Amino acid sequence: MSNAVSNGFLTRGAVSDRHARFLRSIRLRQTQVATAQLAVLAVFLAVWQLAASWRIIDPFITSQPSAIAEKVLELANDGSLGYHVAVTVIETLIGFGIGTLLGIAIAGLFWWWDFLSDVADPYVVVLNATPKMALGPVFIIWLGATVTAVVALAVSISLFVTILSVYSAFRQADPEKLVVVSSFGASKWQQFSKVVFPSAVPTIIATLKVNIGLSLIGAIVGEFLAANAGLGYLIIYGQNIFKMSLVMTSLVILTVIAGVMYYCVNLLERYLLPWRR
Amino acid sequence: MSGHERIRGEGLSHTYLTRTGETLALSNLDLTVRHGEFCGIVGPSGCGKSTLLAIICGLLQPSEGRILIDGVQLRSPSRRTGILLQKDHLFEWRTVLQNAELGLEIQGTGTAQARRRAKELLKLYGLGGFEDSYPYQLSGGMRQRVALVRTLATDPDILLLDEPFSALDYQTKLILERDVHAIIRRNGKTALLITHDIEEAVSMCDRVIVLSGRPGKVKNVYDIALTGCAERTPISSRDAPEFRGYCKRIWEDLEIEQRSI
Repeated sequence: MSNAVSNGFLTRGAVSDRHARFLRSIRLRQTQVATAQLAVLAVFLAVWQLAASWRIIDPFITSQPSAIAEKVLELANDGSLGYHVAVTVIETLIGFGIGTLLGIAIAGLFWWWDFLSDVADPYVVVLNATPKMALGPVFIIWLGATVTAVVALAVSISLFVTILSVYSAFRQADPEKLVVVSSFGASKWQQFSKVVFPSAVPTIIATLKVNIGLSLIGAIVGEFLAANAGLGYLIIYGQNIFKMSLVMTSLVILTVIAGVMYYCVNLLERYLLPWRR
Repeated sequence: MSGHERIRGEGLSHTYLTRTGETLALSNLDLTVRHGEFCGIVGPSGCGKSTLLAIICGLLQPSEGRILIDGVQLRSPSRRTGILLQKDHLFEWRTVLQNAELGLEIQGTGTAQARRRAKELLKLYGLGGFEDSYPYQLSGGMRQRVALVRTLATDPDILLLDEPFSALDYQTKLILERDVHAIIRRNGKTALLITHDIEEAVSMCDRVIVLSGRPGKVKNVYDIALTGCAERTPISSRDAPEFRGYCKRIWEDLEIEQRSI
């Protein structure tokens, strides 16, 4: 037993020499994985940068990391980076929020009243299978070339898949668990709130993960069609004036946004599902 | 055990209807369980035991006949009855204490006093210190104990036990049988045990009802009178000279049923 072993980064929190060696081996592996992941990115950026500098590829068509970095700084300095990012993020979050909450509410209604669900079933299935992008022009004619049309597209893309998957999770709640609560005299609302909804939380979290990506697609496509702000607009604008560095910069920022949003849903999952190891 | 009638079933029949036809699960079954009695029901598989339990629990209305609890016809689940099923059905998203309080919460009686009672019951059944654990952290026997506490927390007078020991290993099963038996005896509760385990039925019950195969009807009733044990427990019962005789007769009843299926 030695207390001196527990000071280094790799052996922090060790309770014995043997435990320190164990911690060192697993943390060493974690560090190796993270280093390798960063190395892949660094090699990719370096090859891209050098290939463009040496004219192996045409930087006019492919852009290059240094040009993208310059562009990010330029957009950040004139304040337009924050503006376009905010527009896209807000549209995505509103679309995501409405699509998800409305989808869960409708799924709950279907569980409550199965006649309604039987009647609506073919319509929901067909609407889910319809490519929502095709609705873009319809929303623009109905709602104008506005943020509202972009949000409507983001909602439509996540709504039907949410209804289908959450409703199916509601129906799969364990019937014997329902017997347990019913034997205590549970009302239908209590059956829903104590058994059906909590059973579906893992599915709902999985749906959130899918929806955050879908809503981002909806927002970007909406901006392609009808906006004068947002990253989708920047991409189309960059394409029109053939500024590949602007297009690539928007793409990179979009990737970062998608990553951050996905990470937030993961945090939510850890908070909501402490009973999952 | 000559208390008043607690559960009375009169001419119970139940038919399940499907698109392809009807299945008669129970046929004209009469049943009486007295206050303080520990009554067992055994029968071949498919004899409608689960249907009968759902009816006595008030979860299922019989196609014909009626069920009375303390002389009042049952139409929906009664707070007087509590059930314990084969699987523990703990809610994996709730902690042990939250699981134990489920019934109190549903009945709106989750007062501080009731919560204290749930906590005391957990401690009494060897689950002290596990209040904040999640079900996945417990063994099978501990999980079934939590389920038992969840049922007892609402203080039901009548316990309906649907093969609650059959998923446990032999040792855990004997210990839980002993504990449940003692709880029911000590608190003057009435119990109806549905099981396919003949020894379990004879060792725990005052009376065993043997059902015939589908449709379920009462085939035989045995009043279990065991001698030779000062204090009767499911474990000491197994040493009584009459024990084997009862088991053998019930076994023969069931074997005839199996052959005719």
